[in-house]
Amino acid sequence: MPLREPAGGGFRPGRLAGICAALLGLLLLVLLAGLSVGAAPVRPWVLLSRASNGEEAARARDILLGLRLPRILLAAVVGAALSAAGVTFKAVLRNPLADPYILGVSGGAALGAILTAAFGAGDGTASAAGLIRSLFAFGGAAGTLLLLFALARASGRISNTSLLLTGAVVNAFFSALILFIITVVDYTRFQSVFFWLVGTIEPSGYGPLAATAACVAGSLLGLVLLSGRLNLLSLGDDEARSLGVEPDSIKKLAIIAASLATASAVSMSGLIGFVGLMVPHATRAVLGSDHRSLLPAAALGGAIFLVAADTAARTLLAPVEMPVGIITAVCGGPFFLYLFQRRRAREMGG
Amino acid sequence: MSCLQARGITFSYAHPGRSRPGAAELPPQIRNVDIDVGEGEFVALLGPNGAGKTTLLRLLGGMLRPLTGSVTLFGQVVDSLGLAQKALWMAFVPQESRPTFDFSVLELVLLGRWPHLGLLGIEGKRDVEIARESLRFTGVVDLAGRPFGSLSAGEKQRVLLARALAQQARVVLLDEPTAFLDLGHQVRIYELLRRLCREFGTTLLVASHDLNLAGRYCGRLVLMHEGELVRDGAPREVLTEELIRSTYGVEAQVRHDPVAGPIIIARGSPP
Amino acid sequence: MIRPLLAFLSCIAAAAASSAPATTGPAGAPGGPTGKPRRIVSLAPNLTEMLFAIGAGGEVAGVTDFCDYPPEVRHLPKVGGFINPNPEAVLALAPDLVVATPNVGNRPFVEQLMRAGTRVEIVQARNLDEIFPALEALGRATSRESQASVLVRRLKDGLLSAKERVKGLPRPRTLLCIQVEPLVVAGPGSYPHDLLTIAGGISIVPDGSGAYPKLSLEEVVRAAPDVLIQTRMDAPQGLEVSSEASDSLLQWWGRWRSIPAVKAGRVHAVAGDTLLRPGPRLLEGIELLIRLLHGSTVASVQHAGQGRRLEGCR
Repeated sequence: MPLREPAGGGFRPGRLAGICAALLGLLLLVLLAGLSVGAAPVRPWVLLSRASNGEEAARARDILLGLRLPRILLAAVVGAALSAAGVTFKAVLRNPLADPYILGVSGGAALGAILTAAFGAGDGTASAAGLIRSLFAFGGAAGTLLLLFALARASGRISNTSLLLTGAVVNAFFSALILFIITVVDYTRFQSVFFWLVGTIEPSGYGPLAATAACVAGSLLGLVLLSGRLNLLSLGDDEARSLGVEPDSIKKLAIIAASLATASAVSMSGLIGFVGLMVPHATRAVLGSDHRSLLPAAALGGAIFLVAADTAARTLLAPVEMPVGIITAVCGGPFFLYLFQRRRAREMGG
Repeated sequence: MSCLQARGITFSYAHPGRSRPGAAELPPQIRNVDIDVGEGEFVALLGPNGAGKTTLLRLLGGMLRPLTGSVTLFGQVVDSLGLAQKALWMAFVPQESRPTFDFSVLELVLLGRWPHLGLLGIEGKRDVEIARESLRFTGVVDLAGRPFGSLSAGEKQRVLLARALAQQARVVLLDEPTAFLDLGHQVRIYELLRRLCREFGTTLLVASHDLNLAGRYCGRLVLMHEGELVRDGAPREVLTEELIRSTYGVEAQVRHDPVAGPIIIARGSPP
Repeated sequence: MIRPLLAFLSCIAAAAASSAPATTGPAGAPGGPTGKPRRIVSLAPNLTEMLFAIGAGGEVAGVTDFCDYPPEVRHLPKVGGFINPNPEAVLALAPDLVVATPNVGNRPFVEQLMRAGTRVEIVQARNLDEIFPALEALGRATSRESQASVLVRRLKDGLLSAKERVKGLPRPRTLLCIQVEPLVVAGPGSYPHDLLTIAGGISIVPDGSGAYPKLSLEEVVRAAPDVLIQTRMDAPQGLEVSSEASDSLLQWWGRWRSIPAVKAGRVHAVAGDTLLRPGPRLLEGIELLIRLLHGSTVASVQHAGQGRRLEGCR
């Protein structure tokens, strides 16, 4: 573990800044690569040359600035959001297998999206419909969060068990509701939602992209400020209290911030899986478990990963596109096998 | 000077608001307990399983709220103290710690500095130095870079103690710190605690199963039985054959060793 | 939780769709009476249209929720969805013939009907070439072989005449979309693609993409189509489309102004039933496409429907 903190010191902001700078550099590289490849053989430097004639230049502009750029930026934002949310939920719920969807926020978002499809607004023929679907998905996610807190609080203190159970119940209930709606309503309306449910990055307008980025940035800022307290939460409620931190309020704030990030991401890209599960693990293996470093690094790592995955999704079978959720799922399987092997080896070894 | 005080404490784990119809009310865990711990004392809470030692400890530590009565720390009611303020004065060492993630020993001990850190929660050089000092005091500074999960039980307990030290609290509550340790480690922990009390004047309150060690190292013993204080005083006064019989239900012989103090030899159950 | 469930369902669906149907074949299948059926239930909208077109409309006793042409079927009893028909509703109508086409979900339902002893005719009509054998099969099943062949003759003549009309005309590069978010189009092997080819257009969807691929928008910009057509299934009957839908569609495509179709305003939102249902209205579908691709000068039949033009985009 080369980057792990040597026994010589505690958390050093300088070291974190260095790591983030390196990751940011890598992100820019990946973004540039994403901008350079796609179904059409158009490269970014075309924009700089004045020699190409008007039509070709217009096409290049449309492809680079109208399709690829908003898309890779969205992938970066969604990747960062899901990864940071994954780190947070693992800490709050004290469960290394928690992902951003575990508390049922995804179920609510999916229900919102399905409802727009069921009632006509989201039949995938116009961008206004896409925007409405995003809004409903976000609203569904927010509503679920409120429901979650109401239910968890009804059983007393906000214990992890009640949160997890409530989340599982909410997920199950929404899944049933969604399946019911699908069987009852016209099936042709759900073609567009199918891709959304697997998770897909689409080139959106810059307006919705900016709004999503703003939401995610706000949530990430909140999470970074809470990251030190997440370390204390990982010890357990009693120990956190004895060290001066009230677990319930931290949990609430953290869950709200992480759910906001998740809801923003999900409303634009659907339910992309495995990012919030894998990237925190991978980052932790390299940097250790101090959340003050882990959270920002995992966010950047998630951005890098999803931009790369989306680039693969739209170039592997070009000009046909795969939803990016398939790529992340394909990565997820072997990744967990590898983790499992490492754990077994460690347990056997000592 | 009294630093930790409890007056008229009662507590029960059953919540009246949530009792199901027909369910019997659980008997109160703690009944009307008064206790006064002076600064710099090394007190042990003794009693059989279920007597309420851990519960009383958690009440005194502010982790549980009493149904009646109040707990005061340095003259302030613990309930009204903010968690952050309380953490500056009082530390709690649990029986065992299982953090979700693999923190290193140093990282874990540094968490004890949290009450002293600023708003951003970033530790400085001095905090790291204090953490290392604490590890040195408990004799595990060589393990600073190791993952906590890879340590033995004895080493872990010493790390937890180091964390409480790093917290620089004036009162330390320990919940059965020797529960999982072998004899050698048990003795070492008690010796560390005694050093802590003597060198730094830290007030120590230890819930313990071990009558002999508590009697040897602690200046004062408090014996509990079924939620009540049965006896409170010097080891000689508390570790008597009648009390052991009536509290633990065990026939014992008590010998007095000039160095080790009262030694309890269990003979078996009463006829 | 939902994702694995849907993935699982779609795997089953794919498996079901890719395997051959249990029984193919003409009338005379075992387990049912032969001879002219009196009560027919149709489990597919295109089969309903075919039945009426060969004159068997009077015997149709039940249809799916999605059957809507000819207009009189709206009053017929409904037996459920396209991928999930209700066997009980079907059996309650006491049919002596059920016609069905294999799709992603209806195999278990159809098998249930077969096990109940109902006479089921499986008719495949996925693209242009399969329409004629399908009509003939239905003709045999309903003892209307002569009406069926007359219809087949008429349709084939109409196809030839359409090909004649567009011969020598410039062939516009065209994209037929099923939906735009995300972009799913009609590719080679699909019915709309067949119609497009007959109507004298060139699809920009590359070969080997599959029948209804999710296409990259970059590819669309690169391929620079002259005409963009979007089919909608919620449009009112016929070829008319609401103007709000066309407007929002044009706004959507207007983000990429280098596309020739956008610049020329040739972006059309049309009703999809004649373009997506392989059936007897194939000539109407071709007519629509000819009109959109080549203008009204070559249209031989007057139709009301057309798309809107993008203003100020020249």
